[in-house]
Amino acid sequence: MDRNKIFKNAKTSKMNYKRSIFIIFIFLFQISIAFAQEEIKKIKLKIGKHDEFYRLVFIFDNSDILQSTSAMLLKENKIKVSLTEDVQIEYKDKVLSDNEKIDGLGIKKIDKNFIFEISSLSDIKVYKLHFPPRLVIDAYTNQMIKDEKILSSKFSVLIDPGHGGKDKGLTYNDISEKDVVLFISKEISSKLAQKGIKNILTRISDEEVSLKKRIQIVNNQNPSIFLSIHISQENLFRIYNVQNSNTQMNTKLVSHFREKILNNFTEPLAIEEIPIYLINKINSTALLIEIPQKALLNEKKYLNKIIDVLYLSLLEIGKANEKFTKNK
Amino acid sequence: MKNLQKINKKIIFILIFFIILTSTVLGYFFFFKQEPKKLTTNQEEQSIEIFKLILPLNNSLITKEIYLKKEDGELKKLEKVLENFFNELPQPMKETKIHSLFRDKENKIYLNLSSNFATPMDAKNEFYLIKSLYSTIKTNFNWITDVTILISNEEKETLSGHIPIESLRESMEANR
Repeated sequence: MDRNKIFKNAKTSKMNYKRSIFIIFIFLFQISIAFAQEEIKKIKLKIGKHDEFYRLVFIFDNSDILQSTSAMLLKENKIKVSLTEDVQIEYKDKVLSDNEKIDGLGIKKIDKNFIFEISSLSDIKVYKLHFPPRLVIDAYTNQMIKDEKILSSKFSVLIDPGHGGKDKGLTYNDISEKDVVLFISKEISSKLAQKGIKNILTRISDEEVSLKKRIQIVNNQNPSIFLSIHISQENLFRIYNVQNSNTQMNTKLVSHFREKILNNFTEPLAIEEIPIYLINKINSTALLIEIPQKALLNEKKYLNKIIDVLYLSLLEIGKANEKFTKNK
Repeated sequence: MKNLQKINKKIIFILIFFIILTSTVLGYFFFFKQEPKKLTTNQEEQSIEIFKLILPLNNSLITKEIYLKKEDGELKKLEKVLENFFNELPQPMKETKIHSLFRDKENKIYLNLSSNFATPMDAKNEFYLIKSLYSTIKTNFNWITDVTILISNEEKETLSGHIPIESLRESMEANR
């Protein structure tokens, strides 16, 4: 009897032991499921509205997801971003729902894919970049392409790098104003050319060009905009406007540059109305701009910033110019 | 009685004579003795001339009066005024030397300056420098019909690449 009892007790305790192990397994399984559910990967999204396109940037945690992600242009102004895993999009520290609208862009989540809807979408360019792993989509719209075409047909710019030859302009150590402004002018010229905008320089090398010759070039070419670039003796931007200028285009020209400069630089800006012979004697819409003395340090990052700001200002002026001409 | 009257008349004549003599002497001392003093003051006043320097300062021009000893020739006066003008400018323009100064038959001035005057600067400073020089010449020497600035014997279009020197000369003429 005792023997049977002992045997029974042993059996029961073994069963209890198995049961508890089973329960622990189930418990662990459920916890792992719960964790797995919480562990849906997130990708960060950044949206930038540029002059020519929308830029969508998806930032991933690792390169594997990036490699398996693809983007394609669909009909009806849509872009499909396909992923192999289920992910959530985080935009400005907020996880997006399955149907969102941001800055005029519609974003829908269907299974593991995302559909982006952009009005008048015409083309996309897709880049996969590393460090950090990211997918970049540049989405071009019809309106933007149309604007570009209008600009390329009528809008023209004449850029005047100041000084040259014996006239070095301001100098700092071995760096001369004539070289810095020539570099900036050439870069702007190349960027404008890439956009199909006709542009000319008053000098393309280290040569001496008199002010009279410069005026002659401008009046022969009759560009939409004439921009003379110099360096200031102080650490500030200076815009010399045409004296007694009340024309709508000149006012717009100054305001475009003013806005761009103030938004992108900490240096102050002064707008002068002294009679600068060069810009007062030409027939085109014109201004002379002096960039801060800091440019003489020849720091590439700073110069590139100046190039971008001047280039984008000219581009915007071009668009404003076309609208103005149309309305006229 | 007659003798007494004669004596009185003599006394009256003598008195009148003395009064006239005294007043003549006093008058002489009063008027003639003080005149040399007056003349000396006038001479001092006449040997000093006041000129106005128009100088560039930040975004404008300021006026400064200077007192100079009178020079005989107009060109010498101009030279003195310009020397004082340059002396008021910041470095390196302060060191500007007048190499030569000519005047032609039509009262046109040729001003040959050292290269310190054509130092690199930005457009605003160049504008105010040229304007101040022309204004100083025009304010003090009305007889000058035109000014040509040479830098180290060379006629230059600009001082530092922004403002043609001639352009401000034109504007000065228009303001006349």
